[in-house]
Amino acid sequence: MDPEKLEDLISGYLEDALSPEEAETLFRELRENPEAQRSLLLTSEIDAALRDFELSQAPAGAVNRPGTARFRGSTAFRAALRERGVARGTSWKTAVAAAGLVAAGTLLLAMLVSQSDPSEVNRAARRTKAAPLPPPIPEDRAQPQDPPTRAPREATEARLAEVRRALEEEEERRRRAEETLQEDLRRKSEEELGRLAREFRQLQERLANREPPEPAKPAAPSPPSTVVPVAQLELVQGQVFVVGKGEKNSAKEGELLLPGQGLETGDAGRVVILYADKSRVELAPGTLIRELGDRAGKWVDLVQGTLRSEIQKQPPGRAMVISTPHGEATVLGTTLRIAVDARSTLLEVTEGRVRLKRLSDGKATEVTSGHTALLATGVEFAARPTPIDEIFLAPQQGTRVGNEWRLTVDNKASTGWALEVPLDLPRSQTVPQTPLAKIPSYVSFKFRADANKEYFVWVRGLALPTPRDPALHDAVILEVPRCRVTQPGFQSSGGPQSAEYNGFMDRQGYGWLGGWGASDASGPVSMRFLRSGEQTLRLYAWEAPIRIDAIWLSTTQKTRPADDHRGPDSGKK
Amino acid sequence: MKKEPAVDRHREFVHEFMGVQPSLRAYVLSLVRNFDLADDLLQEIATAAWSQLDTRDATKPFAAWVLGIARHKCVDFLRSRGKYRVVLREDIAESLSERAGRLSDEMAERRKVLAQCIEKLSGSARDVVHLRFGEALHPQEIAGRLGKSMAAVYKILSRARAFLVRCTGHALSPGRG
Repeated sequence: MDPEKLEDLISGYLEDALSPEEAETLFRELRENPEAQRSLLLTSEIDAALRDFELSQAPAGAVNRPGTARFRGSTAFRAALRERGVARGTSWKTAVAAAGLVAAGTLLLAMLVSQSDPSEVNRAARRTKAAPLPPPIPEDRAQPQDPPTRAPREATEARLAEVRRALEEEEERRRRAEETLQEDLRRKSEEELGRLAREFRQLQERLANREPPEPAKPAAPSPPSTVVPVAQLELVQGQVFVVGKGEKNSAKEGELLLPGQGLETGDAGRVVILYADKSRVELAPGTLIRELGDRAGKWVDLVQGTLRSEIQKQPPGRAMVISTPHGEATVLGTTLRIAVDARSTLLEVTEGRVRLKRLSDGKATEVTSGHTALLATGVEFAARPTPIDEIFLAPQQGTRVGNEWRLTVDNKASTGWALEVPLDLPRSQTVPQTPLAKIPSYVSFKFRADANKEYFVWVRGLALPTPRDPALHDAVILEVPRCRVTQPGFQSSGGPQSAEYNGFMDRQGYGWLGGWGASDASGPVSMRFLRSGEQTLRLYAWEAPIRIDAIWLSTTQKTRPADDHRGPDSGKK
Repeated sequence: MKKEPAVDRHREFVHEFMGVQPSLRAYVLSLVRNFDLADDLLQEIATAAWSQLDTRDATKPFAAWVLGIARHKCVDFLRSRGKYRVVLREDIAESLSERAGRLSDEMAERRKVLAQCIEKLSGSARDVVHLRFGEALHPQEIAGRLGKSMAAVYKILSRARAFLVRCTGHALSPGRG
């Protein structure tokens, strides 16, 4: 096969842009030609290296971008590099070396889950020292597509000399940063190892302890104490401070929180705390946590403000406790929101089960999924169903059926992800029209909603470019059983249990539709569910190519949201 | 202070894993074609390899063993997702894993000279590479932003990748790519 053709096929494959026929051609070549396999692997490695490089170049505020935020465990590593002046504003060469460390950090932090001794990074990182410059390759070979746009040679050479000097300086800084970092990692891994060993011994003793416990022996001299971080700051936005021991310092993304430290968010501050077991706690603006710790389990002393959390299942006997001035919530593994002001504590449990204790009399109650309890003077202390007024369905929540829909990264989408149908689908033009039941591919959403409430339903989408008439390639249909669906002034092509959202081509980029067309005159689609509890909604592609960012059911949003509106939480951040 | 045997064992594991990581990552990426998924899978593979270390046949190369784990993880993952319209066949995935095991050192060497090769890309190719890999934009969005056709963006990406493969190979030994 012509090498250029093979390069195009490999690149197209990595972009998921091959037709089935092209894919078969590539697969045949991969089967028959070992060099093709080698090219695919080396090209994938180039992709990975480019990605690492670009991540290492990203400014501090960009690490929460979709895609980078999911670079698990490496945030601290990158932050540490940044802090030591390595990653930011560095040259290409230094950045690639740092990128190698980022990749190593990802692995090593993952390994900390079990045991770790990452001193090997030193050796691995040393291997990333620069190699001699490769011989120049003619630009016309490099970029046949691009007309040459060269700067004057002298200026280029002067710049190169400047860059080389900067490289040498930064190489030295990188080396120093690397040594410091290795020391940090080594210390943390040994602490973790020690803790695991202690826990293991305790467990062994407990299991083997069929005999009466021995009388207490005089305490042996305790080893030098080590401080194990409680959690890490995964995301920091706006004014966020680490507080404790009379100090108040600006928080940094990736910073480790030590026992006894707390957090405070300013009026526009927001922070996400990540625990080692992947539990997450998010603080809204104006929140104060006096202390985070790990006593007989995770401990959060919430003084005021609002906290949302997704807590992984906690080990027996080590439940997480959120303490407020009015009570204590004991969490075994759940998703919840808790809001505290001077007079009350409000607990909403989305998923799981929480035991809530009132401090004034010690009375406790269990708050389960979809329920709320309020601790306040003069209010009956009991769990009640949480009113559901806003429902935001993000792409990741949907279950894709069939092969039309795919989940794609999109930094213009509300959550960084979008549902996409890249196919050319003018279903509205087929005669007779296909009933929804015959369409094999859709996205199914499950969510909770209240009966007999009027929800106004908005869909945020984007009509993708098409060489054909765009007006015939920009529609989706929502189908909702056990629900009264009203679509003012228009009958959905999907039948009475459905609503058609047609006309995304009229928006500039992503935009919200309340039904047919961008006209707001007739009002949005509304839905009334016939029973409370879990509901199901299906999203069908009616005219594609199209991307869908979000579906928003709201009891209050009666007018079309601005196109850059990101849903019910966007105003609360 | 004498270290516990577990520490040495773990250190050895990390050392070997680090050595094979470039080819492992490239292999996983060649199958799933998504950086985030690849990184997630890489962590799963590391965890699985660590937990299966006791069952490993130490007479066989570490790279082959860990790539075998990677192959199973990736194939399981692709089967479970079923969202990809075009997925590498399992026989190719197996064959690729064998080849990947032999490329670790070369990939690490290539990374060392990647920066110099990136500097040789033309300005517009660098822009496309940055938008694709730094901003994680879809080629369609890149096309819109740069005022190019999608076909042109795909072509530039293809040429840039091929150039970087050739350039990094050339730096290791002239004539290689």
